Amino acid sequence: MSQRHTLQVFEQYQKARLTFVQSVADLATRPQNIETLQNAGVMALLRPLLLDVVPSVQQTAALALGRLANYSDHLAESVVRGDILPQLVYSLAEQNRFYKKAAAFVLRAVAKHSPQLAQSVIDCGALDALVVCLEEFDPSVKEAATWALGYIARHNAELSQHVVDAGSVPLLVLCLQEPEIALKRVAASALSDIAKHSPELAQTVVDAGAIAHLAQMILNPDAQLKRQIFSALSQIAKHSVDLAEMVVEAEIFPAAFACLNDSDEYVKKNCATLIREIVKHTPELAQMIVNAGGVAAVVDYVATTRGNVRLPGIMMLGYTAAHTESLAMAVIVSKGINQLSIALNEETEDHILAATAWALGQIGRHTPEHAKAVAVANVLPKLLQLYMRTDLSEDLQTKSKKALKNILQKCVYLPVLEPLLHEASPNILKHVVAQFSKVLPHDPKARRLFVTSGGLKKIQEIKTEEGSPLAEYINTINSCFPEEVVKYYSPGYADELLERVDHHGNRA
Amino acid sequence: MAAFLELRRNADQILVELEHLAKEAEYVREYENRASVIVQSAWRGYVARSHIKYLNRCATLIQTRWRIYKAQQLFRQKLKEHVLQLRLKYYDDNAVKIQKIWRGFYVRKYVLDFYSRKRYLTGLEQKNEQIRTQLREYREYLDQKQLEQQRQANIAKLEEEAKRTHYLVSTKVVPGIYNSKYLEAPKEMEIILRTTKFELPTTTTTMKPIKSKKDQDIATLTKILPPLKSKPQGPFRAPEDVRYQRYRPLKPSLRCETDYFATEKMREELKLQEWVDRIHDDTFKSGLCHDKSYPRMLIGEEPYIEPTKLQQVALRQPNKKQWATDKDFRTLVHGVPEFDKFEMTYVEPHYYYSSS
Repeated sequence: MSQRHTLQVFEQYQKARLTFVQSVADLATRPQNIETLQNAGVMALLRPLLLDVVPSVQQTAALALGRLANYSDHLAESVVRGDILPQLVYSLAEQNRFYKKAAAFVLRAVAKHSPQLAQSVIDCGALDALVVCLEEFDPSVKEAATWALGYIARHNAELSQHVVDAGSVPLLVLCLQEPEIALKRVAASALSDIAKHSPELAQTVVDAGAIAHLAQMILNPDAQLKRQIFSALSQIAKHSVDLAEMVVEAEIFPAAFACLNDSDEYVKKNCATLIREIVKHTPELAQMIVNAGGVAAVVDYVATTRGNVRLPGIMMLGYTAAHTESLAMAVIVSKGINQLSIALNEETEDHILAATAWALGQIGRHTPEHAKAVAVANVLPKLLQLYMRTDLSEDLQTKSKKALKNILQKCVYLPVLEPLLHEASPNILKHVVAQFSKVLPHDPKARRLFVTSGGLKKIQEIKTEEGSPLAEYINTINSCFPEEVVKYYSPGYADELLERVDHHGNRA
Repeated sequence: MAAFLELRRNADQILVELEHLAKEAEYVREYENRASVIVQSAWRGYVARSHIKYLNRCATLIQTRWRIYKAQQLFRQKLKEHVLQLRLKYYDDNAVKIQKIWRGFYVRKYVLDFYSRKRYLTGLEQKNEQIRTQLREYREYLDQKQLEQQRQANIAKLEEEAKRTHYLVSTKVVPGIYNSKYLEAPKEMEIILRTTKFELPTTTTTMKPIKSKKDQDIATLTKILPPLKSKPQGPFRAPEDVRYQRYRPLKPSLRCETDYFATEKMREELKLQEWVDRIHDDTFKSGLCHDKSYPRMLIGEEPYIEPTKLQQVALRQPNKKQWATDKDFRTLVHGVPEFDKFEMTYVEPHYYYSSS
């Protein structure tokens, strides 16, 4: 009888521990409880429960710790200070899969806040244990371990190098091939985090054969997976020409263009980022993408999206047009300018407007034909406006000024330049007048139009210093017209005539 | 002697006169000497000068001739170089002309071919259109698939609903709620109810009705039972018991479980099993074969000959008594000589009977 009695005592204690740990875990899911829990000193209580005899108590305690550490970096630091991590790492090797999942969750929650915390996670030897977890059979354990590795590698290149040195990359590539979608997602995001820091890391990822597996999954219906895949591929491709060529050789185009029309916004954005990173490097790569019909797909994408999501598409058009004039012509032919001018009018954020202005400048700067195509889309007044407004950021002003200059230096289509004459500031006016002085000496019809539209009058009203280039241009223009006409339009001519009338009257 | 004394008296005077004369003579001599020196020097000077002049002229002549020679050489060389330059310039100009024309042609035809650029741009436009239509079609296909999936999901939900509420189906006497005599046709739910098959509710694998607490998954613990609505009252049973009661599996008796036609089916099965085990289908066939008739011995087929007369019956030698004549057959037709050569000159290989 007494034996049963004593055993009952132990049973009650175990039940009490289990309920405590479960309720703490439940409470930790709600953010408002966590402060109270912290003040009540939950960390000190949970720590010994991690070493409990009963496995479910251990697992639930680890889960609760993970949720607490996930919430803020103070709690994560207190986890580190409480020397919990070495214990977790030690038991990662020993225990069953539920515990491994919970322990990996804790490591991930600690590592995600800052590089220092991630470094302290590595210092406890977590990397080897996590890599061993990657070789498990259970997919949820692999997912938790991969997630933790991804969060560690996210912060900087050094930490990524540690992760790679632990031999995790081939195992991550193996995880990519597993049938579970969640595991694939997390593996792709981890590879993306590793590859984004430096070309050597990206090369390591490529050497493990990641590109082929990533490329196979492009047309998978799951949206989150596609996001991660495109992010990974673009992080690989952005570092150098060779890596970009390797990504292109995996034959992802033209299948990737289908994802530019996906219903999920971030899939579209990441796909456009990938195309932008590839196009950035050399004219040959840009040519290849243009020949595959990429420009049309990107222009449609820019047309259907708004805000930050269309930024990569705009930049892609700018990079394409920047290489050679035939590529710029290809962008024009694919109706890129219309979309860019619509974007210029619609967008409000500075960096997107700056990117649009830059892209338009790249398109228009090659030859007069390009400049005409850009100017006809009624872009120049808007660019001028952006340049003139002082409440916008410096970057936007400089970019719009450069774009305007580039386009104006090649633009010989006069009907577009006329409105600018009336509105522009002196340093832009210089270029506008320079263009007029290039065209007017040779074209009689243009001269007539110039006079009738009031341009000549405006020219006379410009005040200049002697010897400046602007004065020279004005002289060149004035020399195209007969003197009387020039005099007629010069300011104050009416008064002069009246004075002569007075003098004539006086004399007579 | 007088002269000598006069002379001695006048010696001084004479000496003086002599001196004087000597001086005069000396003076004149000197004067003439000087004059002759002057004449001589003038003459010598003249001669020397004219000689030098002559020499100079000779030297000048030599120098001019030499210089002329050298200058002519130089001139010839310069002329040659000039001519060479002219020739080179001529060839260079022509080469430039060729290069100019070739480069213009090449650039216009291959590098910046205007027409091929135009064609490229039109081709690009077509390709763009193609890609746009392809993408649009893919988009539409995806949308349609999604719609289809949604439709399927809806129907599956309705069917799931119908399986649980099968009692709402209408009977002949009592029309159900989805079927009314005032409607032309029963509603879709009614049709689904009629066509669903009733299934036994299956036990879900995650719910263990047996009471076991070890190694339960943490997440499932918290979400098994629905929350209590009002104030909880009274002592409650353990959650495992309630779960067991709620999701208790059906335990039908053996009599319910057996098929109605179990015996007939069993009979059929046994028959089939027996048919498989049988060797042949003839029902009363025995294993012995009596088909063959008894073959008589060869010795019994001959008629009985007495042993004494057996000697006359020589089975291997020709029985000449039975012959009509003594002679053998006569060959009336001579043989073909070719056949004698058979198998000597040429052996035709027979398929079966070859000699090798």
